[in-house]
Amino acid sequence: MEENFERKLANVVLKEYESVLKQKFKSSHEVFTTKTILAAFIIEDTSGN
Amino acid sequence: MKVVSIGTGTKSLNKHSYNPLGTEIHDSHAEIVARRALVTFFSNEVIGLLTDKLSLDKSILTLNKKKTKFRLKKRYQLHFFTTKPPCGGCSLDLTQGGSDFAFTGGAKALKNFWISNDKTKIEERQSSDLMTKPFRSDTPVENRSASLSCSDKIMTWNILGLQGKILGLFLQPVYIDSIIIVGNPAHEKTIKNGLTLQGKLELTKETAENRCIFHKEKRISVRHKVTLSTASFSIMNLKGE
Repeated sequence: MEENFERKLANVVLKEYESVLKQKFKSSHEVFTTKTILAAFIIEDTSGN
Repeated sequence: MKVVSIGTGTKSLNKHSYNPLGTEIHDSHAEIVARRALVTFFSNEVIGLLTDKLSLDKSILTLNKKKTKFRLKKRYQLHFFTTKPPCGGCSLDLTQGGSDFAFTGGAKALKNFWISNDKTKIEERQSSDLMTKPFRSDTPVENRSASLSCSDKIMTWNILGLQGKILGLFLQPVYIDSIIIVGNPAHEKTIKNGLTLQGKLELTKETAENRCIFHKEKRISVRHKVTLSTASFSIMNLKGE
């Protein structure tokens, strides 16, 4: 269950990062590499809303 | 789940490049940049509430019991995600045959900051040492970054909160509820040691543990071995901007 949470969280972050890159650089391919060190803060609504 | 801030970056200014006006960002490591964006996000929430542009119903913040400051609503949890173990205590490898608390790696103990080391020497550090950003041992003192390592900064966030002093006038301390680090599971113990106090501050262990989130160790996870190296750019972004 914990692992599912981590995977879900990682997917949310990477999806957001990709959209940020598209917004800033018009393409996610220019700088989206495994060399990138990425950090993010995520807020979870535990009430289910 | 909503991503409220994202940061990338691997660089920090050396001491020689500091601006006396304080207009430069000294530390552009991903974790630090992401936290700066998070503070901006919380600041926008507070400003919106104070200027009536945002209602308490729609905000993630609410008033505390005494109605003196805002606080994060209890139904919200804050997660921190990073694709590499933070620099400093978390990124150091255990010395072969040494104790659990002797490390080798790029980060240097703060107490040795002014010492010019021979690069062939392996400096031993204790987990009780505060560390600076990683640099080569033969780097001249004036070219070294005087910023604390990300591990030590995260450790202080776990005690003082993420909000910082100025925003702290309006917002109660906000703490990380869980940390998710992409890395080698074998390094989990090193990472946990790097993010906890371990006597780094002159606080009692009991005080430290009471104020530190890591009693929730089940939520600290290290998964998926990934090989990463440095990139030469930094991005800071927060939701809505």
